[in-house]
Amino acid sequence: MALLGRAALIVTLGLLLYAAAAGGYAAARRHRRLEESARNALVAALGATAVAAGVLVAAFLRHDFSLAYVAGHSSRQLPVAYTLAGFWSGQSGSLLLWLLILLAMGSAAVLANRRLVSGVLPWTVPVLAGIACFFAFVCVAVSNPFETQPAPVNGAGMNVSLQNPYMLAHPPLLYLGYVGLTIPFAFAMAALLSGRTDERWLIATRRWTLISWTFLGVAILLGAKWAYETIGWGGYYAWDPVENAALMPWLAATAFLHSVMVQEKKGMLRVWNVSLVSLAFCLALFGTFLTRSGVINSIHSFAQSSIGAWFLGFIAVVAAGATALIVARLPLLRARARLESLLSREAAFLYNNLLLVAFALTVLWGVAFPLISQALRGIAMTVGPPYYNFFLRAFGLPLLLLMGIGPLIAWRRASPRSLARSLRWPLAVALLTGGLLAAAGAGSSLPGLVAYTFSAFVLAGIVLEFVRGTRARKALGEQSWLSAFSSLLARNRRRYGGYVSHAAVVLLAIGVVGSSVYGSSRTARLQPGQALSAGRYSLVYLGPSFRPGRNHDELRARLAVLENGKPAGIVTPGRNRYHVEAFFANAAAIRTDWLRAEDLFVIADSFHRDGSVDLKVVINPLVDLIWIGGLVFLVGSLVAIWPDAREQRRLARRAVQVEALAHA
Amino acid sequence: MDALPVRLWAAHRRPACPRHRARPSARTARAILVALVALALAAPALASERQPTPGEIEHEVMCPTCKTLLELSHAPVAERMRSFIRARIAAGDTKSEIETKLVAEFGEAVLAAPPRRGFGLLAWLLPLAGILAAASAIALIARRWREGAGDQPPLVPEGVSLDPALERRLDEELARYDR
Repeated sequence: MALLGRAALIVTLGLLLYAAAAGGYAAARRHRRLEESARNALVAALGATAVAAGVLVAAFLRHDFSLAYVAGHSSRQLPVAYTLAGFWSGQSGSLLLWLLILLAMGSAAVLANRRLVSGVLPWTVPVLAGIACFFAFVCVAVSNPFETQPAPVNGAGMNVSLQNPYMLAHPPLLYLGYVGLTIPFAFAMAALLSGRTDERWLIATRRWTLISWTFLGVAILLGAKWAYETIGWGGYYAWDPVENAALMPWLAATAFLHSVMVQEKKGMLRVWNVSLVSLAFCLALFGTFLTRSGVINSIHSFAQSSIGAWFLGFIAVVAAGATALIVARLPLLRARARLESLLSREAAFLYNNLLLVAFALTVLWGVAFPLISQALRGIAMTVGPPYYNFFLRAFGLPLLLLMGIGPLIAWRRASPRSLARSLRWPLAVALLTGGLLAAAGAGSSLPGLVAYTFSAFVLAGIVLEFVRGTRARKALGEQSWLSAFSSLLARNRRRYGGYVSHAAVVLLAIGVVGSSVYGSSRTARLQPGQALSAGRYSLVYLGPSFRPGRNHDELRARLAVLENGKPAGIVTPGRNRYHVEAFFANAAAIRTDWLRAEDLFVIADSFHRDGSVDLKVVINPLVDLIWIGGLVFLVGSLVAIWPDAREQRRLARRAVQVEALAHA
Repeated sequence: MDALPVRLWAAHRRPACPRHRARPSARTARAILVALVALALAAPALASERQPTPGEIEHEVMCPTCKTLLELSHAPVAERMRSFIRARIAAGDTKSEIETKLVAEFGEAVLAAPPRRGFGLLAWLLPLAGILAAASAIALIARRWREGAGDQPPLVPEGVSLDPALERRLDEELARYDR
């Protein structure tokens, strides 16, 4: 079996080398049949990779510990779902997954866009194949998932913190996000190579960018939820390098999603957009590198090994190649229009991009800084939460404000007066909210108060836009308010999906601010019968309990919760002991009050011989808005992604017209 | 519908507004940006330097063994650091005095963020300098564009402003097209 898997990977590499070389030659010489052959080779490579992946899945299910990878990442005791997750819980498996997703998405994008971008496509195939070659090469020569060994009796099991439902979904979604960014990058490079630098590559890849951006965003939130429930310190994001690894490309992709609108509508920012998509792709590669190389000491570096140098080299090649190509094609990328005013929709998009990219690069700088200090001065330094939180405020608050202004400001040129007119309602709501919150004591944190005022501003603007649009549809003859609303959504999914996503980001901001600046925590060592009070709650320690299990034993502290003096159930925080892995893990108890979107987070991490227990109680106000925001984010993305033939035609027509005008 | 993009195009080529009209908006935008950055900068400084609480310091230093914030750690060394911090606060040390002592004991990596002096300042300044440089570049390019707009023969000659009613209609159409 291992032999079959390995053979399939070698065949994949061969097919990809052919697709890259023959595809490049065919595109340069406009050799139609060779182009098709290269495209077929790309699709065939997907088949071969699928065989390799199937072999690995089968090996996991049959507990074939003669494969070192399977033995290293699963055991006979592991539940089936987690056994399957073993596929991506280590380095070589995750790289195989990268390759599989890349070929699947690449083939689909190439096949789906045959008509729209016929001139660009011949170059897309070799670019995609070239990128895939790197991953196939790493799987074959550097980090082979089919390494064999004399089979041990049982496997080493799986990293305990990964044994969680969220971790079933998080890595594949993250990879879908990372890999998905390859598609717009490959089309952008192909557009440059072919010299067809009009807006059609943007239109062809817009949905792919949206999809991968959505996957990335959902993966980040699932990762946060996992950290919240599993690592059990009461928080959800620690600015760990590997968490940042996913955030950076997401920020760059967010900037890209906004700036493409300026290019589609105005033919501006063309150099910027190809640069931005290259940056997003490089950051996605860098993210994979951070996660998989273990270069940076981090609780996340489950897979540590020697592929680091290969990855860095590849990132350097990609960055240098993209830069050279952009510079070579600069004359083709001249803007078709100019910025008329610094107070306009275009300018708002520009500021948005400025802040998002600045934040992404700041995070990158923060991740790299300890390494630079180590290399230049030989002194270890830490760049931790205080640093990132500072820049989150410095860049995030203006971004939040901009999110309220951007959708309401006019294209071309706005006068301060017209802007004031369109912003007066959101402004009034914001000031009122800010005043009420300040009166209620939210001024204990100034950034918190500012963030909430801005949040109200953005939400009011979004509501206003929906009300106005629905009214307009109703006036145009829709029967009911509901049908007016749904036709509004249907007629411009992208705009209104975008607004829903904005609302999701606001919910996220409210949740993050609430839990990070308005929370509180208490710690105490309790004997059975003693109580600890925190805010509205008090907790009475009833005593420890123990339950043995097949995969792990559970040690728990039973606590009765009183809310405002009234009984409100039992919570049982504690620890799990995993047999095969010989590892203790925290199992925090989380009691959610959905009406307040508030969590009571209880950690019991040391049990003493005298029956007492060390307790930490964290009150996280509004934290559940983060997860609700995640669902809203998904809805917004789906609205925007949903196929809309009319819009696609309109965009394509507009791109052709812009092109024709340019040549006229 | 088909004719509209041509008009859209014409709209771009219109001569840029005279500089004295656009500049106040640029200045306002810049002032808002500066004010916001200043706001964000000022916030952390509000934390008291003279009389720190243990929680404040635990939020700014790391546990050397588990590489998380001290406030989240229960390692033996973290407990020792905690009692040290409490003792120094009781003795009247300022926050920076306590942090200096911790650095002397555990090295610079014990600080959760680089210090805002010496080499560590580079970590803080580069992003701020970067965004200021980029913002100035945008302002500069925008100005050059407005000044250089005369290079290309505009479709609507300089000095001839559109009739206000027509202008308003154009804006409305543009807004409708945008939907």
